[in-house]
Amino acid sequence: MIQENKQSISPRQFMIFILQTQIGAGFISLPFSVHTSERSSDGWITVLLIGIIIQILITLYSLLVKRFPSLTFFEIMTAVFGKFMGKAISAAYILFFLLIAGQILLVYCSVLEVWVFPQTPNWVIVSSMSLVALYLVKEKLQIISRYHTVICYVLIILPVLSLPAYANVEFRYLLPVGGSGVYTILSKIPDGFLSFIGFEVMLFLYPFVKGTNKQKYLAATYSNIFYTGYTTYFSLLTYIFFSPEELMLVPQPVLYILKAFTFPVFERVDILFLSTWTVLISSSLVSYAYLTSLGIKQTFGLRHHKTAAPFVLALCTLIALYPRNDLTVEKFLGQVTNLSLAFTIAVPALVFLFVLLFKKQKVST
Amino acid sequence: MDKNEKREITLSLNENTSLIENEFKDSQDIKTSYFTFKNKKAAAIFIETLINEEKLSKIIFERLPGVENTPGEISEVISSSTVTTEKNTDKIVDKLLNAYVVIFSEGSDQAICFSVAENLSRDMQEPGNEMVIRGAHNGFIEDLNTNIHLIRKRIANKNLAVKYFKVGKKTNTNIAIVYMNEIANPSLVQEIEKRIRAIESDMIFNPGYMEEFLEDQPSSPFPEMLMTERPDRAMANILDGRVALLTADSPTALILPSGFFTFYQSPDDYNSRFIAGSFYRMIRMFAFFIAIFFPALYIATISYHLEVIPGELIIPIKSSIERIPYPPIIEALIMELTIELIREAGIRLPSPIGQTIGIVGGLVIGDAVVQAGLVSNITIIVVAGTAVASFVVPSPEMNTAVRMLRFPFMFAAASFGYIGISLCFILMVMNLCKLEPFGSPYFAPLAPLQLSGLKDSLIRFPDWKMSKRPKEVHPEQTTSQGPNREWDKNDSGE
Repeated sequence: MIQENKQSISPRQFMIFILQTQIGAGFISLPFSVHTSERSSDGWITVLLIGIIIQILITLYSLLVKRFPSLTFFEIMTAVFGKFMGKAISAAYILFFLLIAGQILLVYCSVLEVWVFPQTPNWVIVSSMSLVALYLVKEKLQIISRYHTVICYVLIILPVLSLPAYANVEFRYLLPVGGSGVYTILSKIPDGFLSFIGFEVMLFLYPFVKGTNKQKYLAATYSNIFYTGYTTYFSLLTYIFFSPEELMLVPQPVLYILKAFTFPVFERVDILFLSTWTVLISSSLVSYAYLTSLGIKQTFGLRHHKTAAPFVLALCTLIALYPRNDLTVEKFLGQVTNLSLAFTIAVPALVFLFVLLFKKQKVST
Repeated sequence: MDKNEKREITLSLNENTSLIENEFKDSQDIKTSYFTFKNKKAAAIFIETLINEEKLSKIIFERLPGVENTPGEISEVISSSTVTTEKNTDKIVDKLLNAYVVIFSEGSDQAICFSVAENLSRDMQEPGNEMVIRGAHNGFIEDLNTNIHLIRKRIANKNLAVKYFKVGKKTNTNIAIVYMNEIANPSLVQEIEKRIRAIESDMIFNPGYMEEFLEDQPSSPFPEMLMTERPDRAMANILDGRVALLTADSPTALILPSGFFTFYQSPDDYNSRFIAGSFYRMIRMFAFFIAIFFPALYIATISYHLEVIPGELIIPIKSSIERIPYPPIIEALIMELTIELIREAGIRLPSPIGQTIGIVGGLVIGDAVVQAGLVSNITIIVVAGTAVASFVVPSPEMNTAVRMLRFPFMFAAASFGYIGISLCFILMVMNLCKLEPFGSPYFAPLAPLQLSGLKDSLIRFPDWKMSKRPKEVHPEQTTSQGPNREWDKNDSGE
């Protein structure tokens, strides 16, 4: 009853959707992956730079999708490149999202294995999370956005938990600012990029958002500003808490910070953090699994994305279980990073150029 | 029986009476009393167990001798405002079943019907499960008319709409929906009417029965309709644009659609000062979390994450649980189930024995079970705290939901520790976001976020600040009051 279009979401929900998709698995190790050198901690500059790059990408995206206001990126592909090519590119994107979802589960599983459950079989950890996610992925976009909105409050907990760390910080670790050299700082951008992945949902949800182009663009921008600020905060905290040499040894620095101090009623804050982080992971996983299902629905003409959802999550589970040891995990993450650069920067940019050159516009479906 | 048979009464008195008496084959409480009026034979038929005979003789029999010589028909003699005439047998039977008296007279093919209902109902009392400290102390009773009267008296407005329905194929139960025209969304009302008409059940046993026939997601642990026995609570919700559903012979009004936070509002909140009101709202939300998470946290901490307990507490806790032979989940389950047993036994028993059960259960079992070394002291504290917290919710339905929910949490905690609790919490929030009773999001105003709605959810703003109706029920009029306390602004300007 009271039928509004059930698929449509408000710009605010759009903003939160992007944000929750971005805050995923990579976030707790970001300061480690962009850490520059043993001499000085300039990773936070890299984080800021990535934020700026993403703002440029968001601008590019919105210029692109503005021309096709009622189509998702999957459909734009078909509209621009014709049926065959379009479907092939869409299929590639579906695979990419599948890999990202698998990567989220993989990181989730490996962190839990190291920090809480060294003896629990991986498949139990991964499949329990997949099953939980499946419960929501089947639903309408609006309901998924509602979940993301509720989960948003969890974001406040993490900075509050980090406050006691300020008793042991050393601001001089940051000096000299830019000491690792421009080239090193820039070269770390691809390493940190994976943690920022998620803004590309903009391309796919754009037609479902009620509002003007400006509102949508601003929503994506706010989400980017918030996420960049959030990660910069945690990176800075990490860099003033650990010395540059120490940081080379701690792959999940945010967790190590929390492990270092205790509250009077609660000894191990890191475990509390991991529990809240699990909640954040779920929203990111749900977003990607939903996008994959949506892509399958639109590319292969399914009636409802619900049908695809169980298969999508089953495949993610398999992907997450595939790498067997740390080396393969690292290799896998490296490949996903390269793919993410290709799929979020190269392909949309090429499509944009193509559209500009051939003056393609949306013709009514 | 042939369906096309013309079922109308005839001119003959005897045929008519036997026709009706045959309809009620074996019922011996259907009575026919014959009398003559102006030399014409007439008969009054009624079901004696439904009507008030004293009233009946006052309305007609006592007046008959006095009007014998004045002109006019029987229907003019009857001093009742419910007089109607009927021809159709089915309708007459229907009237009889609703405590009407039917009068046939010789040579007339019109039956005169009027209501002489016996009204046996208890006095209005304060509903035992929704007590308040201050505020109205009356509650609904087992009579539909009285209940609607209570609402009407509180809302003296021509826009208050009352619509009757008959549901239950065999019981023909009267139900009524009450809402405000121009506030409640017409499509909501339509949807409710549609669902009520679709009920094909033989009987309507109680409001819970109705709820199951009308609700959207029967498998969710959360109740989708607020049940209340308080006219003031019903009134406030009707003015928010919701619809109240009242069932004959039940003191409970169903409020639909209800959201999660509706269950946490108590009339007391609005009677106390807004700071205190907000405080108790927060206490209730806190109790919600305690009731669900406390046993699960205990189990997870003891079985997986003993390291989170601060050093000074380790020794007392460890020494308390060390001699217990069972894993924490069994311990907690034993105690939780005991509490549920005591509760269930206490409800069914008369109150003096109920207290005994409470003492036996609480003191004897609680103490002895620790002495015997079956359950640790800590478990008792946790379970007792949980039990108290679970009864804080001002709605018995939500209370049941909360008490049910803690079991999946306990099992999840026993299998995955804190992460299991997180996963279970995720599922619960997903379910809350999914629920959309009658198209109004259940978890509003948190999801979707509605800032104006937040004024009356986790905290309670001053009454004069809450000038917007809850958006999730899509009311026709969104504002509920104009600017208030204007004098305050003028004063401070000087």
